[in-house]
Amino acid sequence: MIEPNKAVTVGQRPGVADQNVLILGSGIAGITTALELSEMGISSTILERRDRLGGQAAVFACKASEKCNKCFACVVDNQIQEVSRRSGIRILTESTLGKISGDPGRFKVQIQSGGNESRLEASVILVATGVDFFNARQKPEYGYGLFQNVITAQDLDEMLHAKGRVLRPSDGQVPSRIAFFQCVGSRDETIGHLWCSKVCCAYALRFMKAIRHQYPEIETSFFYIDIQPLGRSFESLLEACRQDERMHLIRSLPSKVYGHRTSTDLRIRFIDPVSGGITEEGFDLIVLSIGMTPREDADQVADLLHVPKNEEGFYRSPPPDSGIFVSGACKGPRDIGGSIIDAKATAREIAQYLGGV
Amino acid sequence: MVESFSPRIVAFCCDKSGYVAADMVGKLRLSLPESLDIVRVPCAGRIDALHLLQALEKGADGVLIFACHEENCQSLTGNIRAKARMGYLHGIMERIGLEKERLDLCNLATNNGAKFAETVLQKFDELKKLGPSPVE
Amino acid sequence: MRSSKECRIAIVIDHCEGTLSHIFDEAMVRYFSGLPCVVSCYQDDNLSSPRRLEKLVAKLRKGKADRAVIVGGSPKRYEASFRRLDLGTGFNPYMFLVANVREQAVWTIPDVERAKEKTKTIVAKRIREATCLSPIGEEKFELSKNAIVLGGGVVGMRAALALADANIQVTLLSRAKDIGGKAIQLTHFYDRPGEVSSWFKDQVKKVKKHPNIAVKTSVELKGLEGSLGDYRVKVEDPSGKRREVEGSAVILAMGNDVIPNTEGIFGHQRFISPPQMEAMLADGGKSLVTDKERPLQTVTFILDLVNETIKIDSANAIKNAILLRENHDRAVYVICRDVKVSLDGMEKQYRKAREMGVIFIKYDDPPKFSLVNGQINVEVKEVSIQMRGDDYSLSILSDLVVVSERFVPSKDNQMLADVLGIPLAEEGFLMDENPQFARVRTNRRGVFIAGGCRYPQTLDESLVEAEAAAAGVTELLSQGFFGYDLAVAEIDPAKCAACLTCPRVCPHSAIVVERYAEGNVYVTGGYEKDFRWKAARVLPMQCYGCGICVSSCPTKAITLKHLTDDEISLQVGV
Ligand SMILES: Cc1cc2nc3c(=O)[nH]c(=O)nc-3n(C[C@H](O)[C@H](O)[C@H](O)COP(=O)(O)OP(=O)(O)OC[C@H]3O[C@@H](n4cnc5c(N)ncnc54)[C@H](O)[C@@H]3O)c2cc1C
Ligand SMILES: Cc1cc2nc3c(=O)[nH]c(=O)nc-3n(C[C@H](O)[C@H](O)[C@H](O)COP(=O)(O)OP(=O)(O)OC[C@H]3O[C@@H](n4cnc5c(N)ncnc54)[C@H](O)[C@@H]3O)c2cc1C
Ligand code: SF4
Ligand code: SF4
Ligand code: SF4
Ligand code: SF4
Repeated sequence: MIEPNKAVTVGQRPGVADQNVLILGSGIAGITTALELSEMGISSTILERRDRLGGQAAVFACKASEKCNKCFACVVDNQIQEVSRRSGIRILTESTLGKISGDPGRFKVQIQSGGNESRLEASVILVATGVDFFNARQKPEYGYGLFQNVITAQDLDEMLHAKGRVLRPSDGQVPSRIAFFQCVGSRDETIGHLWCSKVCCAYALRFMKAIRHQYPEIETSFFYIDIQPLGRSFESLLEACRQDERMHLIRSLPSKVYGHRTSTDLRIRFIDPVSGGITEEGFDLIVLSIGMTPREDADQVADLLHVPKNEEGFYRSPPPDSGIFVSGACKGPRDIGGSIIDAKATAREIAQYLGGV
Repeated sequence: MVESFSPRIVAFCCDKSGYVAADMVGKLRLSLPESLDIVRVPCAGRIDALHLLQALEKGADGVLIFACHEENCQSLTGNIRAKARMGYLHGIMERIGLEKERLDLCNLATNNGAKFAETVLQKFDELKKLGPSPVE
Repeated sequence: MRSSKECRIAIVIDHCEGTLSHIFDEAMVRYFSGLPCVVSCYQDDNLSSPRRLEKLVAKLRKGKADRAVIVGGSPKRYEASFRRLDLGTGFNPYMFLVANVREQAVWTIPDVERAKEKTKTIVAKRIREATCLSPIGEEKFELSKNAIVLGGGVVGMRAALALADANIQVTLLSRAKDIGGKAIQLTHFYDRPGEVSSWFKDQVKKVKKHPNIAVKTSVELKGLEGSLGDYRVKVEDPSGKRREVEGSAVILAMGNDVIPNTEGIFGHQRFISPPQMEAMLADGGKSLVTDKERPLQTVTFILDLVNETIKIDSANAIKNAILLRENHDRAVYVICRDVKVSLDGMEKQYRKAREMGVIFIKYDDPPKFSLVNGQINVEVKEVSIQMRGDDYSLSILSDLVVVSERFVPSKDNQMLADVLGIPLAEEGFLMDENPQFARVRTNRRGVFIAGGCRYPQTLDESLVEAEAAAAGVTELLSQGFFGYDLAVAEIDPAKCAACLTCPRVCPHSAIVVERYAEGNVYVTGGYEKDFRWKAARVLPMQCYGCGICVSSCPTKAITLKHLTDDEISLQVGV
């Protein structure tokens, strides 16, 4: 009989107190690392700020059309289920990191859970704190928060996840013309975000494909700068989108949205790449493809754990002997699949650090 | 009071997708008909034509198969095989005078709780219109 | 099915932290206790906790029951804990059944009384089904800590190093004369300033020196067979000698092939490939002026004619465009459909290139090429200036035009896919992108894929894959054995007609039919000594228990141990 959590064949690194890995963040990166470590017989404690596991991707909807469109959302579901059942993985939700002392391989950590404080020893700390969604209110010209029918991709995801439908927030009706605005909060000099969020082109295209499948009568437009491929199945996805006559891919970013609060005919203004002139068009639902930004408290965590950052403010890997590891989207935008393989790679590095598996 | 006809539905659910989606229906607190029976199978490919027939024979007014979306099956082809089997059975049903609508397949993922509920309710209404299964 | 009289069922009511207590009133408990074969009834508040479950098992063992039905939440709540129940002292995990009344009745039927009725029906059915349960055991076998890595490019090397550092003996097989692969042609990476060759040489040296890595170069792949713990790769060396290499697991890292674009005008000497461009820049730009008639003043990169959804060319073009402006003051055009900036730091590189005067032109219709006075005229319609009339196009007279090579699947992919039963993606790369396999796993236990044979990506992306694949192997081998429970398919050889259906349909290549030489013939127990039978057999360590073979077998020779036909029949009944 296999006891996955007992049979530790991993050699003990001299001076390592016990092999408890503290994982900050229960996003797909944190969860996957915990699972992989448990397979190798290393126990871990997951610290999660929120009251639920899974991070951002836990509330993503399935974006399949006649077949799976490889958004990886359901994989996150599976992993959440798996992690909450494994022993050898301790989960502390609604908890945050307090003070840290000790040395690499033997950290002493203070943890705040609710009002309580507890202590914990950790041989390794993994930072998998993920990213924030871009706050679309920072682009006032699109009127997010002002117009009810301007929503973010995250809102759309949550709507599809919980209700299984796409509805206009203003009146609960199925929309007839949906526009997706790309690069909201990314590739944007005016807000100093000089990075591409990598996933948003693909997720918007998948959304459109899924919506068109569920509601063949809906017409969708996709306003973009450059289309970024993501993963191997992207080629066929893009081809299918190009073939679809009621899916318009328009190489232009709208400059402004006009309307009133509950308007179901929001006017948008953009340069039409075909005619070359400034054009106006009406839509009854506008979806902003928001990107990813470094977390609000990224600096705080970085200072506490001495994690270096890159120019954009995402984390870089600390030196290998620091006992601190970094994984997932907090290293810079990446998709779920990318976060998973990154987490696997990190789990192996941790195991090796803990005593040359 | 005359009880209105409440069609009995047997839903074969793939453990990797359909069953989890069915659980999600509960978590979302959506309602399902009481006459729904959920049969959990490791993969939709496990479902034999025989089981489908058995269900119809033993008094189900409708049978639903919940399988993974195509290209997202841990056993690669389980969902496709289930679909093929359904096609085969549709042929038989036609011959013995059973409406094809009584057997249907729905592809979904773990996070499709809402779709699960909607599909069941839709089928429920459809079967209500069709009336009880003529099978003894 | 055993006679239900022999069964002694314990009902275990899980109140799920009090959330179901209103359902499990006295009357309900009485109803449960009165069901056939039920010998005892326990109650608990939260059985999803492994410790509580252990306590319960202790109680069950003292009692008379030989199987149990848990009435509570979703089986998913309990099952992982079941698996950990110690076989020696406890209850067999397969002697439990779960009646999911929380999700299937209480939460989905708002009316309490009706929910109670549904609870009763569900439990009654599960009790009937419980009579069919039988225990399922576990097995394990030893795994030697060795692995095979196919392909000696950077990806293969990184995977080999990661495994070797984890004390796994690695055989690194490569077709080329030396290890290194395609990346050896590169002198710069967009995101690694300065020379990369030293980094690269260092990697090669590490691999060659590592005591746990045996490198075999100049070998041609001839076959691969076996299963977890016993994979055998057949290779042929240049002298035609064949040999077999053994390993417990395999990482496929054969990279991809490239086809240079030399058709028609692209055969002209002024068209070069990205690696040629790379080489020209490697010598400090000396070769950029070797053309005698005219200095190579204008360089144009043409992207997205091929590999439109692969980011390598775009990254490479931007990198080299910057170098051409920065160090050699050439006029540079990049003509593409979309600029691929979805790489770490690439947006900034793109902006830098533009600031330095690299001109980016985006097209919807592919550009046209013609020869004009020994130069190449590239005619293209820039999407944003089409307004000036449909006929308006830009004409760029170029001295050098860099056109991408087409990235194609390695020619061995098909053979490997065939022998391993791994599905090829449409374009011929290894393994469909099925999210369930998290990119680096395959449907064959113990076989992993990484790098260009899966999908051509930039170095960083490929290296993470290498590490993830190595992590997968390390995980499998780290315990020194592989344990699996026998909740798998089983074939009754007496019923098998060796029709070969099941080995064909099994998605995990878990079924073999031994039908070769005498020594290989599968001898089944229970027959006379000399009686040799040709039959299919399930390799339990490869089987995922999906049941596809069961429903496909024309003679009904296969049983799925954890969900027999009987059990399904009982569930579909009223
Ligand atoms: C709108 C949008 C749509 C997307 N759609 C897709 C898609 O379709 N497909 C795809 O593959 N990818 C998609 N992505 C990308 C995907 O969301 C990320 O790749 C993924 O969520 C990253 O996972 P992670 O674990 O690194 O981080 P996260 O999911 O962000 O998880 C981090 C976790 O850490 C917790 N945490 C943070 N700080 C602390 C702290 N100090 N202490 C304790 N806990 C902490 C957070 O609460 C959170 O739970 C999308 C992204 C966006 C913005
Ligand atoms: C022109 C070009 C420019 C690039 N520029 C950049 C860049 O600027 N930045 C960046 O990050 N990335 C760049 N890349 C990508 C990078 O080079 C690749 O990601 C990397 O080389 C892929 O490595 P690999 O190990 O998967 O494949 P390869 O390097 O192709 O290695 C495959 C190895 O497998 C061997 N092999 C093949 N078949 C068999 C077989 N059947 N049996 C045994 N051995 C076999 C081959 O001999 C070879 O040694 C570029 C790639 C190209 C082609
Ligand atoms: S579209 Fe996404 S959620 Fe749906 S099945 Fe495919 S990977 Fe899973
Ligand atoms: S992925 Fe597409 S939408 Fe997202 S930032 Fe990059 S270019 Fe813009
Ligand atoms: S399908 Fe059945 S009869 Fe055919 S080989 Fe397999 S077990 Fe034998
Ligand atoms: S149960 Fe599935 S994996 Fe196992 S042998 Fe049958 S078809 Fe193959």
